[in-house]
Amino acid sequence: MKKFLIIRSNQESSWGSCKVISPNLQECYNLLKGTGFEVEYFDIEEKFLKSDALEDGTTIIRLAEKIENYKPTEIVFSDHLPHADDVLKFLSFYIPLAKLPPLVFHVYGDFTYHSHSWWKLGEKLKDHPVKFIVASESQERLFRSFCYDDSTLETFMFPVNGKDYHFNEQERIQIRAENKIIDDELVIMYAGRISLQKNLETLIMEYAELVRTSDRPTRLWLVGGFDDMGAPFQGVIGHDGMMFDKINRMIESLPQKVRATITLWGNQPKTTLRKLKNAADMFMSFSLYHDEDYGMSPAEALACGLPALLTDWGGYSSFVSASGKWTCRLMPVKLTKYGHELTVSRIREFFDQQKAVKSEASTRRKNAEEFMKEFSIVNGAGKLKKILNKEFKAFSGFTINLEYYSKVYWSVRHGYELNIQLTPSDDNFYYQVYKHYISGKET
Amino acid sequence: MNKNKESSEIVQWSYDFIQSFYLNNNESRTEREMQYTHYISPFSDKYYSPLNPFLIFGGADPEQLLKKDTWLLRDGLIPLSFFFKEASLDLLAGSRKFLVHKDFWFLVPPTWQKNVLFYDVSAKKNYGKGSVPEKMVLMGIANDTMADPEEFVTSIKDLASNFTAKEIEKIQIMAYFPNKRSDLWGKWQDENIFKYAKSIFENLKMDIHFPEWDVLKSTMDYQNTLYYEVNSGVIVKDTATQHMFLSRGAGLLKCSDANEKGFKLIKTLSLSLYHDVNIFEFDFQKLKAVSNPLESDLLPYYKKIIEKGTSPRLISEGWEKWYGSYVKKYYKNQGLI
Repeated sequence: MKKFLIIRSNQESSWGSCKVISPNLQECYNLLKGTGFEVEYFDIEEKFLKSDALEDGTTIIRLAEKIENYKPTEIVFSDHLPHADDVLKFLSFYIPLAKLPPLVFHVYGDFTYHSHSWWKLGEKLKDHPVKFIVASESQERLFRSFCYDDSTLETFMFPVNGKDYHFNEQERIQIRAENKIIDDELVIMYAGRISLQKNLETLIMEYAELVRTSDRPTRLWLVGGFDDMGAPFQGVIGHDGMMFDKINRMIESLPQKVRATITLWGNQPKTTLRKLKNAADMFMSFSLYHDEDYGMSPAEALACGLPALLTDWGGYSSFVSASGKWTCRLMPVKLTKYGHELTVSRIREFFDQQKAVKSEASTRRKNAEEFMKEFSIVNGAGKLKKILNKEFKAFSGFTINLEYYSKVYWSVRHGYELNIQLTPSDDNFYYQVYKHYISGKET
Repeated sequence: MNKNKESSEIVQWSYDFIQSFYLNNNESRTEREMQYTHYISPFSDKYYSPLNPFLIFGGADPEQLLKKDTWLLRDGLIPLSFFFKEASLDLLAGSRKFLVHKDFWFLVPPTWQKNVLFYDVSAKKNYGKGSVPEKMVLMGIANDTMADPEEFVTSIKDLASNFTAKEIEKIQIMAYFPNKRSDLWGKWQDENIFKYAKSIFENLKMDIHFPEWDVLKSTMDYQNTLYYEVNSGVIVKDTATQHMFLSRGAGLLKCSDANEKGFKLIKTLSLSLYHDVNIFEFDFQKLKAVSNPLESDLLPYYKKIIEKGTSPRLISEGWEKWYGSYVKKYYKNQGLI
């Protein structure tokens, strides 16, 4: 019997996708209970040191006691925060790290953001048995590029909760009726943060061109809150209001006929989001975000049976069905000396393909079901079990590249200055890291 | 963004954005931290709008004002007073337009009037009697050097008067009142933070959460939330915090249209899906200021408040004198408080 102690945050993540990922992941662990696994949780505050200072400093002592008493065979860090490095640093005051059982770390998109912490953690964990579990093939390539060997690395794509996201024909009919969408009208949808690196600019401009020449009435729905984090690698520091102004002005510059077909929905609760996804006809996301390790929003769209066109960037390429069980195509991305280059002609190809396919409820339902066979929580639990049953290997540490990356990234984040090594290009350090985000898959 | 023939395009985010920023980041951090705006962060934090929001005494070189034709002045009563008293009309004005919050119409001297328009910020959702929010975020400036404790209590009482005790009981209230960042403005014991907190508990309820700023800032959805700011606008009027909450769906307290005499709305500009800035012209003939803070003998003295390196003790004493006697009296005479 394996005994897992899962260290998790006792509060909801501030990061939108993690609000969904964390509970889904815990569901997977819960399903392992009684199948040769015993699972217990230890809840910890994101800022446990601060709360300890106010409440007699007991969190880490309680954790040490829990480990002593429960005697787990493995300890799992399931959330992105508090960072495992902080927890282990203070835990080592009470239990030498060498005496801890094997450690499992779920690695999130903020691996690069917290690269400094990961570097420090790597120094602590040399020769310790560990597993790093990343969320996509591209993140695996990126993570591997910072490791001396990849024997401690596993890939586990986060599951989607089928209760929250599934195809529902009634919802499709209802929402289309409420929004006065006529039968042959097509709805293109983007859902997610409206952020600079999500590259909505390309979507809107190319959509305007599609609409201009399309023989079918078409709409564009943009669902999500505005996010002004900017593009730190490009030296663009965001200020509140920046993205709204940019997108609003772009839409206002379009002809009235096109403008009238674009809807900004703002943040929506998940039930409304599912209904909108059910009412839409295709999903597009052209993100080039530097921490795009997975893509929860495209995954949820695919779970509703929506055909999707995504950039070949980060975790997105892992959603492609090799056997065509559902529709997910990639827009090729290249890194050139001027930055990212997108093959935007793929948008029209995709649009024309989907236009020709009548959006039958049976097809949507079948696509959704096929996707969920792979991405359901039950299936996820099975995959996770296989990973956890694999033998642990001793960690040989991160390469010096991670330390370099963390220093350069730190200077960009805190120094408000461009760094030529981290500006998207094909002949610098950015390329060495982010070339792994491009799969080159043909779809 | 450059189009590359027909099939592909290069995505370059940076350059147009860098161009669009009104402030460069060349100023050194140390210098920036010495400015008074640092001590009223996050209210004084930067935000973006096409109207070029600007804190005159925010540490930037005033010559930057020459770079754009329109500026929205975020400052409150005191910095604005100095601006209109001391800024060079010949150098700055020309065809340039300065937007001043409409609460401060009386500060604009006749020579500046043709260069000034007025603004206010409005939310698409407003709460009050008959419209109760699920949540409330309560923020404000709560220390004796920058706010008046009596006025603080009045403001909280005004807020409470919009809802019944039962309604308040149901609202999830979060409060955040940033403390002083150092002893520049006096020692922490001078803050009377307990006095401020007491008035919140007494007038609203005991069950109030005090989350950290990081938590409030990282929450992206504030729909069904009332944002209420206790800020008389003496130092900073147009706060970044208000814009942040409103742009994420929060609403404001319904207010009456009193004191609208003389204002003519000429444009409304959306700053987010949920809030706007309204731009007004003002007919100075219709309403004339009966007195003017610019004429105060104390003006040079109070300039010290917004200058770096001033002795803390002088600031506190001076503040009491200025705020307690002059400004408040002036506001009361105007019927503005």
